[in-house]
Amino acid sequence: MRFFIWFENLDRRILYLLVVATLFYPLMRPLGLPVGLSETTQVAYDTIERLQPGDIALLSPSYTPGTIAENLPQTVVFARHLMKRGVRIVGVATRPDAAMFNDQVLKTWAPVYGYEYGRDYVVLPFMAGDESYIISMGRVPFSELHPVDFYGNSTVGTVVDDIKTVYDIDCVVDMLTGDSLTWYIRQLNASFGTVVTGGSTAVGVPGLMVYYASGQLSGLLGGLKGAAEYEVLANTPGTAASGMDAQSLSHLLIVFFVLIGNVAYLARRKAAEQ
Amino acid sequence: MFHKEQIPILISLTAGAIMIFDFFVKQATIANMASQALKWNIIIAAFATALGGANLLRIHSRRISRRTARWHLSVLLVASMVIYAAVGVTQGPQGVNYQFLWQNLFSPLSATMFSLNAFFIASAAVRAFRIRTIQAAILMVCAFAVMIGNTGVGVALWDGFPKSGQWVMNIVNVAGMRGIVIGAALGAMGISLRVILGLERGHLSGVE
Amino acid sequence: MQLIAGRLTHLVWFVIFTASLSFYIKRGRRIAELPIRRVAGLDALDEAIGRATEMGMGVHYTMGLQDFEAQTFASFEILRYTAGLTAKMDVPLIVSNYRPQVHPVTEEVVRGAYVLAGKPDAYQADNVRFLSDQQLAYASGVVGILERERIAANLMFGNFYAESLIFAEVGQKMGCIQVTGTANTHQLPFFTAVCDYCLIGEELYAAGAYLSRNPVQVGSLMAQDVGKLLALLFITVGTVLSSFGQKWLTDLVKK
Repeated sequence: MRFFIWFENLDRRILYLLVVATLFYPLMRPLGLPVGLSETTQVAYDTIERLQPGDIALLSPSYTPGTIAENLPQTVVFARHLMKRGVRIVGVATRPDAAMFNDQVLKTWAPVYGYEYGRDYVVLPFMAGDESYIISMGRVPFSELHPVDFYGNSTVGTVVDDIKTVYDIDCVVDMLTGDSLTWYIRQLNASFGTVVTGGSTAVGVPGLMVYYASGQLSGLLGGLKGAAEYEVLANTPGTAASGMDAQSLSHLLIVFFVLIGNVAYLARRKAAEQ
Repeated sequence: MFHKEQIPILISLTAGAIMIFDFFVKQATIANMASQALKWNIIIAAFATALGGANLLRIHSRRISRRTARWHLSVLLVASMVIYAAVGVTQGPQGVNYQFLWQNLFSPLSATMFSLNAFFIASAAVRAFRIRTIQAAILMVCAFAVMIGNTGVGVALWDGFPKSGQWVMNIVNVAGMRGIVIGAALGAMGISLRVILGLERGHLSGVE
Repeated sequence: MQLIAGRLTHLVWFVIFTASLSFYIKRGRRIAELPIRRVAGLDALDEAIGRATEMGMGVHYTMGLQDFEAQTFASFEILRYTAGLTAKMDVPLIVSNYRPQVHPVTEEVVRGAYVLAGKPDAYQADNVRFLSDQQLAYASGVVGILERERIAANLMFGNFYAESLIFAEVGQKMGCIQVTGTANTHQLPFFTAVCDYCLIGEELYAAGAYLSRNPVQVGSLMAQDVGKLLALLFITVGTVLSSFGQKWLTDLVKK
């Protein structure tokens, strides 16, 4: 009983310390746990597989640097798969940081897949306006909306020229923390039938499952696990799979604490009744 | 009162009507007006950033000049803001120094803030998941199914763990979420219509 | 002028909703007297501000990562009510803003509430603060306010994302009474688990009607209920028809 009372009054900092330990240990010594395969990841993979060489995809990393642990591996794995398929990529930015992520990811992987800037991919600057910006994509000519790229050069002569209307966009791939995937679904999928897929931080997945179930969202990578699953599927090894061990152990720690907490709670309640 | 209430209402009504018409009908003039309105929105949002910066400068300059409590933090804030803005304006976000600041200062600081969630989720879960009622017990069982199903250990132990986790997410979660989403969407529609028609005045000060 | 393909159902839905909205609003006072189910979170606002008054501490209000969208407009109603109460009770109110474009409107709402409460001089412009339009920089600003400014009540109504749990846990650690509300489904679990009260989804949009009993707002609630009944009807009939292989209703709503 004394243990349970001690546990119930446990300083939260001890719990935090244990979380740090469970995160660090597997990063130092990987355990090699299996990652599994979710249905939503498989559907996202199949969506990209259906694209043909020369098709155009919007790559939209709509997150802040805070969530790079989950969203950046998703961006990398999608970008690499798109490049493998020969799909032309237009990097758009609904957040100021997004253009930096596009620049970082596309510049890194373009030489590997023989992609040439302008012809095969382009990085566009941040556009303010949030959902209004997405609405604009469907109503304002794309080249008029984006006369210059992230580097300040004209977009004339680049892949942007080939987006005459919204129907020239074959797929939108949005990685997010926030609402941007819902904007794309509402404004482009619901209005013009554009195919939308992407990845979300794990916490956003339950809310987005509604759109997946209705068929408006063609697959979804859920957090780091989704990225790890995709890395295995697309045979593009990256950082996500190695981070999964740390995530698994910290989940187990929380489950363990919740269980012990409940045993302590029930024991205390029984003692009080007696 | 006129300029504080009637003009904003008139602008909302005009812009709202244009966007609604443009959503339903194919008409070149309306489409052009909607496209202009959207561009204006993007431009105004961009200019508002400067407004926000001015507000920050006003508050913190006053704190520094009055030497209020923790005024040295205000000095740090103003200095960081001025340096970051100066580098951004002169070099653009693709500049070497801007990229350096973004990658080595801003990104790690943001990631640190976000990573606090790992600890807070742990402490919140331990506090919140107590089997006080039958509903709380169901909640905990669902949480277990999803969490264990998302771990490598769960996958390794039994393939039923990930399957049950996915079942909870695909069926139970979606059913509940749809109810909330439909209710919230109708609420959002109601409030949006009230704003467009000038019936919603919570955002208008109502005073001179 | 030609109707865009695939928008017929949207148009019918829009017309029905607008018609029921104007019908109920026109019924005026009779509608305003209709009972609205109790929303504990809104009743708790008075308690939270009362507690801050007794403790001689402040109230913090955030609308989350707001832009000019429905949740923000709903939150303005609650902010106006809160600011009116804090003005009457002489409790300091700190409002932290994320979007620079929303900031001046927030200032006006708070100032207006102070003027209407007869305390224009008590309004302090420096207490309505724009912090940052970067999510986690904003989060650290709010955490700083909660930890340093002697806050007894932390009120969070609007659009929240990953920062919600950070705010809620820090508020809990500082011993604040926390009343929250959001329509962001992914943040609801955190608010319900950690905070004292939470408005779920549409409850946030009903706040204006609940607090003011204004006939327009209550009428709008009635129109929402009509919409909900119609949605329920379509879902039930559609499910039954689809189960028996009948797709005509599904095809009809796609028009």
